[in-house]
Amino acid sequence: MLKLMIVDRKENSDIAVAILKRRYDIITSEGKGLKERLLAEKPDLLMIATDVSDINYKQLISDSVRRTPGFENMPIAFLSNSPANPALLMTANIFGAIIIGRPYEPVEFVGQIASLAEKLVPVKERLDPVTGLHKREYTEEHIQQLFEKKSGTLFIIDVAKFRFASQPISDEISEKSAEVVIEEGKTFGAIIGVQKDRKLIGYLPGINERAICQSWAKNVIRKIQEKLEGQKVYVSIGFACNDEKTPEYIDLYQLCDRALNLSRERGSNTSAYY
Amino acid sequence: MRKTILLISELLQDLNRMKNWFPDGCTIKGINSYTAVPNALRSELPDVICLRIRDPEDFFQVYEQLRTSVNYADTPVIAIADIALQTNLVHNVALKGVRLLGSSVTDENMIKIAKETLDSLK
Repeated sequence: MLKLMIVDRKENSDIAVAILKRRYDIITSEGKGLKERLLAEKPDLLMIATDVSDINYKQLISDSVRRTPGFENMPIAFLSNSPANPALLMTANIFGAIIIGRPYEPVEFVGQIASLAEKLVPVKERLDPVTGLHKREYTEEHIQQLFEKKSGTLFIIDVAKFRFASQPISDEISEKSAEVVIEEGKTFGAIIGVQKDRKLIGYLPGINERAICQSWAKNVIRKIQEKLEGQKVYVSIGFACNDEKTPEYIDLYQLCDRALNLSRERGSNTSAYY
Repeated sequence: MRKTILLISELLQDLNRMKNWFPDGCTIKGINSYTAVPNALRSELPDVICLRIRDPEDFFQVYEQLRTSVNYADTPVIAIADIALQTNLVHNVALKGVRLLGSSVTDENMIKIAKETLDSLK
């Protein structure tokens, strides 16, 4: 069952809960500690009141939702008594939200949420259970939104137990490596996800310089090794710059995959940049 | 032609009070459980529905059954709720064809409202 979170005054959300309860798992919040609730409850859809004085919805979305890993692309519905307000329409556009007008006509309201829900894949299914990162296809959805700008670098990181033999790494190695990459990626606002083969895939928006990527890679490799405290691992990183030579995303990915192979051939704990 | 009124409330005392609002010429059917509503709609074919809302979730379920059914899409509904719930519903919900009243409404007013509702039927 999909999980919805309603951020609104209690008396208002009580009604929405009464209308939707039979169809969805619903949690409510009045805004305080939203980030912690998101991380704990992992809702699939957020509905937030836009005209309640004690709920600063813009700040909550930009600070607590869009900057929380796993919720960067979370669908949002604005609940508003003035759904045609031009300023609200503009804000909805910025945040990629839909607007649901109040008061709710119950049948229409159920239909609006159902059509949103049809497009949703539950958050739990989008996330890798070990690292908590988005799986590859959902990470790529996010990367592709930035792809047209032709400014940024795709990376693939392979942390392996053996240099040439392919063998799955343990959950511990996978989790700790992801922690390092998340931490180190923060500086660049990196988008990071995980592939089925446990390689980490990510994108450094706005970064197109080899030297910056190589220096970042050195740092990541060193910190992964420190974090794994003496466990022998081979870290290889491939980078591909998103520019005129990569007209489609698939070209960028293939280039990055080639860079990763080149990095492996060069030796252990190194990176390659195309 | 005799009109059929379906009364819905969990409490017998509510049903006893509600039936006095409608004129003698009407056929009155009362049920004390929301789960019995679908059967009652099929068997009684009510012209007017009058209900007491205590649990909004039950009410919305009935509302949805009515308004998504061709037979009951326009059937008038008279709903009575406690004042706090009534205020909340008025503020947050746009109900089609529902006359929503607070529980402090007098019997005299309810008799008038029942008559107006019956007169509005084609």
